[in-house]
Amino acid sequence: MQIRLILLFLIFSKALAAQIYIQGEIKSNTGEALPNINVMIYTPGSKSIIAFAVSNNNGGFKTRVISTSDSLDVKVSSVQYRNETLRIANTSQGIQFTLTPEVMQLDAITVKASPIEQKGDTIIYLVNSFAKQEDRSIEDVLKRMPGIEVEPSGRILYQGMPLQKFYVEGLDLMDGRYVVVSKNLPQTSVSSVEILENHQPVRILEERVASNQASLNIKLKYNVTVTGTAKAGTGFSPFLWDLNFTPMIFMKNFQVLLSYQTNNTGDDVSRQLRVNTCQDLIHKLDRPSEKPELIDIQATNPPEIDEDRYLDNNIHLLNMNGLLRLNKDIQLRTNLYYINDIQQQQAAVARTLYTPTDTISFTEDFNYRPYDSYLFGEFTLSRNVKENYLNNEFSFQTRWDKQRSLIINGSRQIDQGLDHPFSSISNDLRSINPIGNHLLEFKSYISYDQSPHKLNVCPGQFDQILNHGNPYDKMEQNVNLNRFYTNNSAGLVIVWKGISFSPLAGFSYRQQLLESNLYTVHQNNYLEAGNDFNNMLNGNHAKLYGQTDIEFKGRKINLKTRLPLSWQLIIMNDPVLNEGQNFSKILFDPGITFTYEINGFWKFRGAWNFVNRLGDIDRIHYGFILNNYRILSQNAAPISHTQRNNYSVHISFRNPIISFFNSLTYIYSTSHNNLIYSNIIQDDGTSLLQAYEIPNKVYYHSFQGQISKFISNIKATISFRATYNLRKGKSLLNTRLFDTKNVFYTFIPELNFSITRWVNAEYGLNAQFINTYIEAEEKSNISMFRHHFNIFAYPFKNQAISLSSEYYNHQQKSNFFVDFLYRYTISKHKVDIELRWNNIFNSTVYTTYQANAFTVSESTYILRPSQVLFSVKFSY
Amino acid sequence: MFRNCRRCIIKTITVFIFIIISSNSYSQFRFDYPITEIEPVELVITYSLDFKEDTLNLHYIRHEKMVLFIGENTSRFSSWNMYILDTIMMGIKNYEEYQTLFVMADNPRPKLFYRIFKNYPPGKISYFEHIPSSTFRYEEELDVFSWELHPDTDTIAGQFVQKATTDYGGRSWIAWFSPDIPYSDGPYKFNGLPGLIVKVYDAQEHYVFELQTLEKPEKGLMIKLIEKDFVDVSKQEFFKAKDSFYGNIISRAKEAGLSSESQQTAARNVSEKNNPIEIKRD
Repeated sequence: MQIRLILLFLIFSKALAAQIYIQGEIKSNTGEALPNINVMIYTPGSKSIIAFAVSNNNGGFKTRVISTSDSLDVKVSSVQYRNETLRIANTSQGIQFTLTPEVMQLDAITVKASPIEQKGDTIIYLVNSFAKQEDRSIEDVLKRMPGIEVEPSGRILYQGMPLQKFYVEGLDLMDGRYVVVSKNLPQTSVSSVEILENHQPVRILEERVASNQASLNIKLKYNVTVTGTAKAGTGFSPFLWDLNFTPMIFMKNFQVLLSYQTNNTGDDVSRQLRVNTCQDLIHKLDRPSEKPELIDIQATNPPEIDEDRYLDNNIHLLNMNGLLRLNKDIQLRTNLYYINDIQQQQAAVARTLYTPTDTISFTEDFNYRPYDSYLFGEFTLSRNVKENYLNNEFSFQTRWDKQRSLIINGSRQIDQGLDHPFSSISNDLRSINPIGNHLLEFKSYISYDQSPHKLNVCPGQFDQILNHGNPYDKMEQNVNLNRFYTNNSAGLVIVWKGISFSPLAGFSYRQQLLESNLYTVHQNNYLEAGNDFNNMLNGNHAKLYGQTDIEFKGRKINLKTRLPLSWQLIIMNDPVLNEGQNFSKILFDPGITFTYEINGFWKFRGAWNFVNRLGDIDRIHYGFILNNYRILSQNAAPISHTQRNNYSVHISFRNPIISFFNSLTYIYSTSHNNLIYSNIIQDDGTSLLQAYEIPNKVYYHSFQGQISKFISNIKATISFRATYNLRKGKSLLNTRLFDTKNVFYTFIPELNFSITRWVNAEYGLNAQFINTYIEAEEKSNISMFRHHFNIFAYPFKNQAISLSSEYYNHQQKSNFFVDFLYRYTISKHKVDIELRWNNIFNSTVYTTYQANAFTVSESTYILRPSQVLFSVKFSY
Repeated sequence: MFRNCRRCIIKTITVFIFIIISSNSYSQFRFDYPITEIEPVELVITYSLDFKEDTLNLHYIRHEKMVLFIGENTSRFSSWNMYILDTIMMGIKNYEEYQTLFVMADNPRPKLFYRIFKNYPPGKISYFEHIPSSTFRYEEELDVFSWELHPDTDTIAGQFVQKATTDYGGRSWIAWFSPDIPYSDGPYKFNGLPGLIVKVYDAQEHYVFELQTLEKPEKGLMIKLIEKDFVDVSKQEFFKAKDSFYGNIISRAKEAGLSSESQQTAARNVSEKNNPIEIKRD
């Protein structure tokens, strides 16, 4: 304020002294008017400009000058013309400048940067010059290095860009999960940090695909560095533990990270093993199922609530990741996992089956105890040189799974035991080689697996079919499936005049042998059930395929077509039963997607595709197999072949100015199936399941709409979502063919609001209605309401509190869950302390409903009791 | 078998949903917009920006490298990472490359998402910024700044500079410009002084731009604009859209499929962005 007063005063007093206008024109020596030329007025001898102007499009300028000086210097300056200075008297006047071209040479300027060494694309930071006494891990020091930032999640950014690779001595041990290393490697063991700018990790792409990303390499001080992290938690009731111990060793040519984790708190740590990228999902579609499940123990599907509410586990996980540098270009990486998990599940299921005339109900009480034990390993050899790229991953899996289950079905008590061992080996190769100007990517996958399974059921079931109506002690189903599979493909990308083609060609082949037999056992006397209950099935499935994607892009319109063509051959042969089939067909699965951006707010998309899907050859068996204690099944029909048409339209209106978002989606699909499954239910609930060649159609409609609005003056968002799904088809139950229809509606209103800057709350309801119709007559309707209300608070930067509650009302059966969490972080010592109280009101059971074609089931699960867990996490 | 059937249905539905999701995401990610080459770059200037986004935590200073490309008539200003991102986007030829960039690999993370074109169209400042899921454009007059010259001179970044002040966007700004570099331009929207602005900051020093390097560009470098389907709005409407995006962040994060914990993190991050460069928005 004071400065302004002084300035005002100065201006005022000067204005009294003199106020003149200087105007003029600027032309080039060819007479052209020159715009954008700076005109600066100085008092002679001074370096300060007192007034200025910039010439307009006609070369004219005008400026007001307030000065007590007798004369003024007028300087014109620009890049394209020579600067000129003219001394004039301090009176209002017009002046002319005629400028001669002369390009001004500006010297480059670089403000001196921090003293960090740079060699080409590599920048070297010496750790000693950045580390402070309180720093523990290398992450703490990285935070101080100019250009490097560490996000709260631990992710490292260089110049605002996430790192591409994190190496220790040039080795990439953790492949993206580097946070465990950066948070634990003591800074005292690091000599320098190198930033590799514009780093392309696949070397053959180095000169073809430019990289703007940087990678980071840690140079170690010592030959051997040992470090790690640990977490310990305990609680009640019953006695709970949660331990995690992760040591690591780094050497220049060899690095290891080990991890031992165990808990009985309902945390399924084996999930770490699952890799779930989109890419993997696509690849796995065509591969044989990961583990064939021809026979299983009748159990329930897991409920849709959080796993840690019901999972009664006792898991031990041992993990080893090792990386060995064989020579400059070749690296070998090993990832091994051993998992041992004993679980227990108690549930009761009431199943109701509807036919046009009958309603059949039965209940089962389960006491299910799976015992999982498996070893899983991956060996990756990669050669990464300028000439080509090769990555070969060999993996194996051995499982020793056993399961037991005690079932009470009405008045009967049945004991089931399943030996479920499985072993597999597979090899996945990817290479990139140059062909002319293009790169050819080659992929090859080979696998072989064995699953000798055995199911015991006591007492024996199906005595009408298997033992002339006489009860007997036990039945034993043996299944042995050996499978070989390979898939090989080569692909290119070609771009021509804005249209891109991505041709791909390949072949796959699968060969397998299924052997099975069923024994009835009475007083230790094993009797084969007969030829109808044996299988010796040879299966072959060959596929030749090619695919081209073509894309056209306009400014508002985008059109993409996908044209996959395949020739498929299936030969099945059972020499003992003298059964078999040959299938050979050319299948074409075209698809087209059309997108139209009407304007910035409205968007439209339409798509159609046609899909041929052949059934898994695992599902065919000419002899009966006991799937579980109450299902005997046979599939002597041709391979299942589904032809589906999918149509979808989507329209959205999203206006961010008023924060109003809406969308509507409609999907319609029809499936033509060649097979139908006949289900014959006996009075005791056991059933015979057989596939028949009866062409039938399934219709599916799905409609989804959503709307959301932010109301700024109360800082709340209100949203509403509704869905409608309808599935209509035919079912064959107890030799009657009838129509079934299932309708699902959901309504989801939600409200989010901020109470203060550090307290947020949310409330939501999920209301679901399921109706089942048999021959257009409503047989069942189910309603489920799920409310949730959560509060999150951050009273201080190092403390977090959350209180979450859920209230369920399923068909008038209700549940109430409240969980509480408090976390305190001592950032200086890298210690996290956490207190968690789950299921505060000690809800003991949870009931939910499912509907499928003609079946409606009610499942009740026993939950984990109320539990308190206190844990401490630290690194050493 | 019964269970297998159900599994089969679940699997079918999963595949189905997957197809829908992938085609959905496909339409949202576009990379093939036409590009306008405005004119050749004459000068590349980088500025450092130190800024304080959280008024409750003024000790926390964020840094961002900014870049100004000057051509004969126009200029383009943005964060350096924004420029890199634009350059990568312009080089992408097909969807696979796009996926590689955005799904498989990590991409540059600018802290500031705007691009400012000066004198394009002539006499205007064009401001572009993406607020999910639209890119907005508003225009302002190029001569919006009324500068007051001061006699103070200094040397910054090795350049002789003179002081000038102006009020803009609810802050008082102090600029130091170099008459020896006769470009009437500077960082952010600032322009109109008889020389390049070497340093400019507001009186509270919440936003400090300072020249780091100045050099001739590589041959052939052009000022380019990716011609998306911009949503043309007034400046007030733009700020309204931005405020409601921030206010609505939990729902928007949920919509994007983030976990409950990530939604809360997003809300916390946004609450720490309460100090924009322009406070008064008229």
